Amino acid sequence: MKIKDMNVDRRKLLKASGAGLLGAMTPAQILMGQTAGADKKYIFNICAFGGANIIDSFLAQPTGPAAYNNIVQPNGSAFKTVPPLQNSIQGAIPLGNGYDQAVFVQKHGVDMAVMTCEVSSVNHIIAARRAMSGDNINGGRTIAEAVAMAFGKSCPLPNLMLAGGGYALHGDDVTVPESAKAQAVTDPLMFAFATHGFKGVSNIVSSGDMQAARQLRQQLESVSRFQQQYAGSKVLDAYQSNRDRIVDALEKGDMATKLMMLDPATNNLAQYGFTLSADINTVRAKFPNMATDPFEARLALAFLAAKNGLSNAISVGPSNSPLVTAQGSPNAPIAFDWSHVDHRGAQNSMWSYILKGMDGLIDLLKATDVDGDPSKGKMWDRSLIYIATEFGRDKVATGGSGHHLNNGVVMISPMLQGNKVFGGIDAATGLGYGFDTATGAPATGTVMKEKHHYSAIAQAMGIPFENRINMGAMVKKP
Amino acid sequence: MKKFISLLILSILVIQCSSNRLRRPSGGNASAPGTGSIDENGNPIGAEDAKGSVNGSTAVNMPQAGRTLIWKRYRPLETGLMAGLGLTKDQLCTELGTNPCIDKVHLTVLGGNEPFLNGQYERAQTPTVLTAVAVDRVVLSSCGKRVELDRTAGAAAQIFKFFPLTAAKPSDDQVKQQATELYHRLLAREPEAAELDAIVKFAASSTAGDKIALSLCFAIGSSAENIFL
Repeated sequence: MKIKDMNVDRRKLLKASGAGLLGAMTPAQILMGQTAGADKKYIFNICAFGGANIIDSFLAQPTGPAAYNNIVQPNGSAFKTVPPLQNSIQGAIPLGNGYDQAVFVQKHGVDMAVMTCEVSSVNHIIAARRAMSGDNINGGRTIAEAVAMAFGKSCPLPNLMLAGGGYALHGDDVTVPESAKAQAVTDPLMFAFATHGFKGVSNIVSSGDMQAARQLRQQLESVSRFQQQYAGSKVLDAYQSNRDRIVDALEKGDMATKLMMLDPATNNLAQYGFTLSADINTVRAKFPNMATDPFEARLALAFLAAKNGLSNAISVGPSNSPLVTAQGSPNAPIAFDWSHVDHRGAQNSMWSYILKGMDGLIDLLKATDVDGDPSKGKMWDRSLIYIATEFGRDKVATGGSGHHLNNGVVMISPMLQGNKVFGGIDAATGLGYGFDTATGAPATGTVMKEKHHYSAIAQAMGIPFENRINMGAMVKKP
Repeated sequence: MKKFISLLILSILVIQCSSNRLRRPSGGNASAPGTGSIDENGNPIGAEDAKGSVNGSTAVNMPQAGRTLIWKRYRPLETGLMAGLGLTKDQLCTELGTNPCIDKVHLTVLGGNEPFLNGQYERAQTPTVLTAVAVDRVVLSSCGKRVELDRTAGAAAQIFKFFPLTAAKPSDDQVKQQATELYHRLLAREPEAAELDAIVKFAASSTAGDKIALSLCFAIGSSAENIFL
C-alpha cells in the first residue's frame, strides 16, 4: 500500500512519527507513530503532585531567599542535595521517611539530568496536563501516548495510568488510538483481577465453557436488531473490538498471575484459583510497604506491568493522603502541595518519598532483562524516568509557599547526558534561567518551557515529531 | 415609507440571525459536529446515524432515541443486574469474596472515578479497553449467584426454573422458555427467532443444566445491548 493511498496528509504523517524516519517505515507504522524497527522502550512518568520545587532538592542554593545552610554536594556530582530534616505535620506527627537525596545522587546521578524551566500555568489541573503534553507541542499528544504509540506495539495496555488529576487526562490529539490512551487503575493491588474475565469467579464453568459462552454472545449479538440498528457506531465498534482483542491478549498472557501482588496470608488467593506473581519477592524487597502504601504499590505494579510486557508508558503518582503510622508519616498530606502550610517540611519529606521510590524502581530496572531475554539487555538501558510536576513554589525558606511558574524538572535515563544541570539558578532571586539547547551553555535571560521538557524526552527516546525542538545538548548520541 | 419598509426588513433579518444563533448548541457540547469530541455519555458530538456517519445538522448534539448509544455506567449496570436477577447489592460480584467489584475493584473501567485516594476527577468518557473484562466478571458472578440460589431453592426457583439445574440436558422448549425469561429480565424485550435458534443450538452441544443456565445468562447479560442504552 502506498502512503498516498491512505488518505493522510504530510502533516499527519509528520505528527504521527516524524519526518526523519519516514523512508524506513511502513504506512501502518507511520499512522501508529511507531519508529522503524522500534524495540521496546519504557517511560515512567512520576507525577509529583503539588509542585516539586527544584531549589529544595538538586538545585538547592546556599544563599538567597530560599537558602539552605546544610547543602551536601556528593563528590563529582553536578547536583546539590538537602539532607532529611526534622519535619512534622503541625508539630504533631513526624513527617518523612529519612531517605537522603544524596543517596539517590550517588547511585543514579550519572544518569540524571536537571533542567530549569518556567511553566505556563499555576493551576494544578492545567499545569499537570501541560507537563504531560509539553503544552501541546506534539499536536496535543501526551508524552505517555507518544511513547505508547512509538514503542508499545507489543503491549496489550501500553499506557498505564497510576496517577490522577491533570496528569491522568487524555491528550487533545484525536488521532491517538484507543489502545494508546491512558488506562486508569483504581487499585494497584487489585489490578490483576481486571485482566481476566472469569478467573476466580465461578466454579461451574471451565475455560472451555467460557469460550463457548462468549461465542454464543457473539452469535446473539450478530443476529440482534440492536447490532443492526447501531452497526457502524464508533463507540459500539470500539467496545466490541477491544473486548475481543484485549480479553484474548490478557487472559492468554496470564496477567492475572503475573500482576498478582496481594498477600496470600491475608487474602484467600488459592481458594479462588489465584497464585502470586513469581516476582513478588523481588518487588517486595524494594517496596516493603506496598500492602499499605499506595505509592509503593503503584511502583510495584508499574515494574511488573513493564517487566511482563503489559505496558511501556506508565505514570505513577503518590497518594494525597498521609500514611500515618506509629512512627509518623512518610508523605505529606496533599503531597508537595502541603507546601502551602509548611514549605520546607512538604518539600523535604516529599522529595525523599519520591526519590526513595525511584531508587527502588531503578534498581529493579537495572537488574531485569528486557522481556526476560538477556540478549536484549537490561530494562534500564531503554528506560526514562520523568519526574513531572505542575509548577514550582515561591522561593522561600520558612513558612508556607504559593505556586510559582519558575522551577526545574528531573529526568533520569541512560539515554540522557547524565550528571548535568541544564540552565542555572540566579542566587539572588532563586529563579532559574535557561540554556542553549544545542550546546547546553547556560543562557541567562532565557527560560525553558514545557515544550522543551517534552522535546528532550522525545529526542532522547528517538521519537521525532514535526515541531520538536532540538535538545541535542541533553541527549546521548545513539 | 421606503425607509420604514427597509428598516422593517432589516429588523426581521437581524431577528432571524439572532434566533439561529440561539438555536445552536451551547455549553460543554458546543463543539462543531463531527470534530471528534465526545459528550459526557461517551457519544461522539455530532450524533451518529445508523450507518455511523456523522450528521452535520445543528441539532445533533442531543441524544436521539434509536440513534445515539449511551453507555450504562456502573450504577445502571448494577441496578439492572439486581432487578433482572433478583439479587441484592451484597449478592453482586466481589473479588475474593470481600472486595466489591463495582464500587471498588473495577469502578474506574465501569465508568466511575475515585477522587480521594487516586485523584481521579474525571470519568472515562467511553468504555475503556478494560471495560469488557470487568463486565464479564460482574455479569458472570451475578449469574452464578442466581444459579446457586435457584439450585438451592429447587421448586421455588425464581429465575432458572424452566429446567432442573442438575439435569443432563433440557429440552429445546425448556431452553427457549428460559432464554425468553432472561431476555425479558435483562434486556426487557422478546428474543428474536434467530437468537432462540442460536441458543437452542448452543444448548444442544452442552451437557449440564447449570452450565447452560449460566452460559445463557452470561451471554445475554454481557451482550453489548446490556452495556449501552
